[in-house]
Amino acid sequence: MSAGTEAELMARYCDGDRAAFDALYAAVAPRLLGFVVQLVGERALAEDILQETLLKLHEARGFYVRGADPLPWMFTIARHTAFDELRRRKRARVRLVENDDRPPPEPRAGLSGAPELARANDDPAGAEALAALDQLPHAQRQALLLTKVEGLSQAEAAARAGTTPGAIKLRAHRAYVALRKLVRR
Amino acid sequence: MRPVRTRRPRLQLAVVALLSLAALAGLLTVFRPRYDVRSAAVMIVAGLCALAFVAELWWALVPPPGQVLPLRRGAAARVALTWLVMVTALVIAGHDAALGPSVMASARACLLVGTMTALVPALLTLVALRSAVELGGWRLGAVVGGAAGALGALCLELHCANTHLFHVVVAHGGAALLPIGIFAAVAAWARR
Repeated sequence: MSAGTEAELMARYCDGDRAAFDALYAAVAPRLLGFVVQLVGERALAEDILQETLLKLHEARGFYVRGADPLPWMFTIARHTAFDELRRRKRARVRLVENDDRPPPEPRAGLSGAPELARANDDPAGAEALAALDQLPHAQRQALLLTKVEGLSQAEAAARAGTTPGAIKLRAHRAYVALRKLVRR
Repeated sequence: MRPVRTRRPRLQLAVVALLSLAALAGLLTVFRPRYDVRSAAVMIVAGLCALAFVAELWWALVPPPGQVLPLRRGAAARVALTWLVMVTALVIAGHDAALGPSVMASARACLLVGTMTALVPALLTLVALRSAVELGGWRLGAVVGGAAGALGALCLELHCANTHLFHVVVAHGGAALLPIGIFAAVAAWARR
């Protein structure tokens, strides 16, 4: 779906058209979810963040400028919501007792959103690469995933990550170098 | 689903600029313009400050084509450069060699008047931007503060006749710089 169509849907959504919201949701939610899964690594948490992002979008829809591409704005809201949630979790971290009878934590989501452990059994080399990818600093991992896995241009990746194309290029290059070292080890 | 009125950045820019200039005119009526307000040097520097105000207000409110958020590349550098150009103009046009005991006497008053003037456009712009302030972070806050500071500097240029180098840099330059720091901190705080 082109940016023009999303802009049109967003404008109709602001005009109170419910069907336009449904169409916009169908068009952008999978992309937003994929982006948030990359950021937080847990599908369930990513789904919560996606819902919160869409609520924020609904509250802030009056800020939309007609004719503009709403996607970079949506990704910025999603990124901020994800970082807020990660920060909140970091603050709320507690020490668990040994006899904790809570269910085991959800496995980390892989690039497609599927549990990572399942992939590890099928493809050990892929699992090793994913583990190495996990060790990269967040900014580098994001740059690599956006440009190489999602196939976005540097400008598109920069808009999504909230930075400049130059920074994305540099981060992706550094991620390559670091990843090569980690996989060779 | 309730329809909402979408943002019209250029209209917001016009409203914020006009209300801010009206507030500036009101303040100048209360505080009185300087005696040589009609001189060419004062007019040139005042024009430059007004230009800086409008340019920074444009960066703060009007997004680049096709974008929703008014975030531009090198926003912080633009604000810093504009401040430097403004202060240089203030120094070149206003500097005289007098060094008396009153050089810094009115500095506190100048800082206060400049910051008071700056509050009007800054608050109006923050209201216009609403949730975008949180998304824009300290850079957007700095741009808003830059615009507000430029109006503060314009007010002081039209009101204060103290043209000593030290006073102009510390008091007038400081009045333009203070809102940048304040609103960058406010936006950074809002992001947490």
